[in-house]
Amino acid sequence: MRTAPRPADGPALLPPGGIGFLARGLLALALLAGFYLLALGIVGGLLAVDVLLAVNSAHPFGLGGLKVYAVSAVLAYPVLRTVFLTHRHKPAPEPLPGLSVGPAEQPVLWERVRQLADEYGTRAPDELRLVAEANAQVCEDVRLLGLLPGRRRMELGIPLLIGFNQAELDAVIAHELGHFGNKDTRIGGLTHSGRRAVAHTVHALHERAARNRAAHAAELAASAAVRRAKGRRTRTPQASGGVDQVLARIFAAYAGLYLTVSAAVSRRQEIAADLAAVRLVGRDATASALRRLPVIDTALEYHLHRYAMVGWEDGLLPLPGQVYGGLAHLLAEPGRREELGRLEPEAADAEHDPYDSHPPLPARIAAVESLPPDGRATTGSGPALALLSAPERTVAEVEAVTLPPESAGMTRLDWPELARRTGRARHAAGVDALRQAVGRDLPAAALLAEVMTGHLREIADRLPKSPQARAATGRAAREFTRPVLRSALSDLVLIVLADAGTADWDVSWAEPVRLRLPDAVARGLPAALDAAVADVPDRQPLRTLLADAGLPLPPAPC
Amino acid sequence: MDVLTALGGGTGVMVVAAVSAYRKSRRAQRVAAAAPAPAGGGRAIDPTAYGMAPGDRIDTTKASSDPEGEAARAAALAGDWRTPAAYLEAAGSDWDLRWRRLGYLAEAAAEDDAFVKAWQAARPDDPSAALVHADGMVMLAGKLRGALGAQHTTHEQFDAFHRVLADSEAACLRAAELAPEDPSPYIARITIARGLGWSHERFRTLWAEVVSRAPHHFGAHRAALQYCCAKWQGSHELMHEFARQAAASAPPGDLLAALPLFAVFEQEYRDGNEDIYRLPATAAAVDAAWRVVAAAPAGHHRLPEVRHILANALECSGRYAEAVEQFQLIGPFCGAVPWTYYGSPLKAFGGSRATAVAGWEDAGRPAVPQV
Repeated sequence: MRTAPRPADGPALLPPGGIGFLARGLLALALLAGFYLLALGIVGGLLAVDVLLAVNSAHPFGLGGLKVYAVSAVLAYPVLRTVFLTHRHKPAPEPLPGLSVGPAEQPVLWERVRQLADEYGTRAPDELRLVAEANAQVCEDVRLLGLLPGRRRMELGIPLLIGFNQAELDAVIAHELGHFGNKDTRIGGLTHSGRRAVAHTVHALHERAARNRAAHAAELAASAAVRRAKGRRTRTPQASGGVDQVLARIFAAYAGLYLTVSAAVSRRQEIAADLAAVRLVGRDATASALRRLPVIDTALEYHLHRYAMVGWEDGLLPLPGQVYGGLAHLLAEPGRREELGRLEPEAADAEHDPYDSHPPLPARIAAVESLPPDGRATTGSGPALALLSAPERTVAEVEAVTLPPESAGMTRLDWPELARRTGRARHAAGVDALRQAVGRDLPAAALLAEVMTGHLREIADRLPKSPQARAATGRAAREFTRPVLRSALSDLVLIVLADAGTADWDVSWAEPVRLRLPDAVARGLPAALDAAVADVPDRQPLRTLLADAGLPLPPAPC
Repeated sequence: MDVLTALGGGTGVMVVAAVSAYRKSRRAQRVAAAAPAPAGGGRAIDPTAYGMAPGDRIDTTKASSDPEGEAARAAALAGDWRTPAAYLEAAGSDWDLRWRRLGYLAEAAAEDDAFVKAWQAARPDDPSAALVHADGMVMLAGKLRGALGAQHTTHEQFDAFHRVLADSEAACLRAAELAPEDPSPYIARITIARGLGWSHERFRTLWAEVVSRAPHHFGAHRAALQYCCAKWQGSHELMHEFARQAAASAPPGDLLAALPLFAVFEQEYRDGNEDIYRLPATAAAVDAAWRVVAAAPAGHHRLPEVRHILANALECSGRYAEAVEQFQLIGPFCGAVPWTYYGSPLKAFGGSRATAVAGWEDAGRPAVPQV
């Protein structure tokens, strides 16, 4: 409905049912043909110059004539080579995203889609897939350049089902059906292959230009050799990419035109599809769905980044279904709702990209809201997820096919345990480093006792170091070591406190996973660590702090 | 006229240009291949035949010999604070000399500050001790960052650099408080301004504090020139303008007349070619510096570093006889700008020296002109 390149993109015009299909199809065809005509034009133009000169010259095969023919050949060759002679690999069909669900598995959702398709008067999709993105899209496997219809597919993002109510989801489905009904998906394939052809040519010419540039740079470098022989630094002028660079620019300009025109057309299709949604499910539900799309997208990003994937590096994941399902907790938290609500105006300020195949959301919302009220309610319908049968299992199944394969072997934990294990894992590196520096495989508490009584300078010197820190001497070496020691010591203290039950990590949907320490420890720890790693180390403040927290250490030797 | 002949003539010119560019690059390759590696510059010379030290006898760590400064530094590193204190205080209110001597002590403090701690414990309010402490931290920050470009500097290095530089600012303020008439704490802050990317406006305020105390301070001008250059917070234009004004306003005979040569070299190095030496303004600056150096008192503490930059400028300007003379006077040292900018200062120094000698020989060993 909003993002992601969509094979269904293609020219469309004006209100549904208008001059649309034929005109848009011809435009798509013309844009593609124009590309080949441009290439032929360049070659043909060069040929014409050669022929004209040859015919008008008294000495068509004199030295001058041969030079001109050679130059035109040099210019024409890369065009012929990249546009017509290179075999463009059709990308291997990627496996379809998400989970395909049949009517038997998801009867209610299918019924909803079919009912809306009936109301709109278009053929329902043949396949329904649940995907991981906060997005929805449709496409159609057309034949004969889009003249004959084909198998229709609709993708619905699980995050939309989690975040939307049923009326809003209806609006999304209706919008996508609008693309089918408006035959946008029929032209999509043509536009798509046109874009591919143009992109391929620009890319190939750029590659040739890069090779020319490398060769030219080598020549320039040779002429700087005299200065280098004097032991000096040299800088040579920018090498040029030659004729291919110029040709690449010409074709890139055409590609720009192509994208601008096709994007402009496809932006109109979006407006038309929005209108279809308004007709089917009402103005307010459509506007509400459009408004909440960026909110759900942002919330999803945040949820994945700060909650679901926090333990990824350590091989930890939430329970099956909660990787995406946890989004519901985040959206239900009142503080978060308010925060996310404030996002909307920002989305409205976003600058518009001329190549964007979708109009800016604020414009779409304004267009929808400018329609007269139709009295159809947006509220009162339950959460869209209720349309799924066995929602938890279904979300877990979508997860299983959309998460990277390495997730299969990961440990699945409930949220509090995930927070705890992830929190601990963040401090494991420092503890391990100290363990190695001390040279004994001690449990955390014993290790801390050792570090608090041992020779701190020596322990610090044995911590892992960067090459720069290793190379440093004297005071500089000390300055490099100080933050490393401080961070490792901090890790160790926190783990010991956690083991003693004094510190813990907890998950709250109102704020990111965080470490909970007794107030006195949280206040005093930074200064106590600073004192312990100072030039003249003083471990007493840390010792006192730990004793006050109920963790007395053996007395210091000095 | 026949169209084809006209056009053919045109392409002919293009082809000739391409072929000549190709030949030039081939020639350059051959020259490079033929150049003997150590001497560079075209052909091997025997430095001893010209009263110069052989390549393997050149000290790459310093610009000249300064036994007194080196002794003070060695004493400081051995933990003795009295010797360095006396050395620094003997400079009196010759602020530029004080700044130069401070360099040796700050270098020691950046390596091991035990002597500074002992000094401050014995004389808590000694402005010299506070100054060495402050400038030592500035130098330590530089060591932590390393001398490479930002893309070759790690996060760890930047973090340490910024942490220590921020602390050094407070130390400079304390040193300035203890000796309000001394420009040195402000000059030390020029490096902080550069490292922390101060705005031009804030920098001007600092610079005003410096020049109100020491208007023609050589060390301060060299530090400020770094702030003004393109690789830090300035540009080629800003840098040349600063250097030109400093040289123009200095009293007659002052070595500040050589400041523009440091600016010229900054540009030469950044541009990676020697085109700037062909400009009339450069020629005039080189000539002015050469005259001032010729008239400078022999033991002036800034003379060695000025000779290094002047020797390079004379060589790049094709004034080989004068360049050879400067290389002879420099002696067996190359730990100075411009050479220290290069991966191998010795190779850069040796290459320039060989070019000067070869050029002088080719010109028939002309005499050095009279000032």
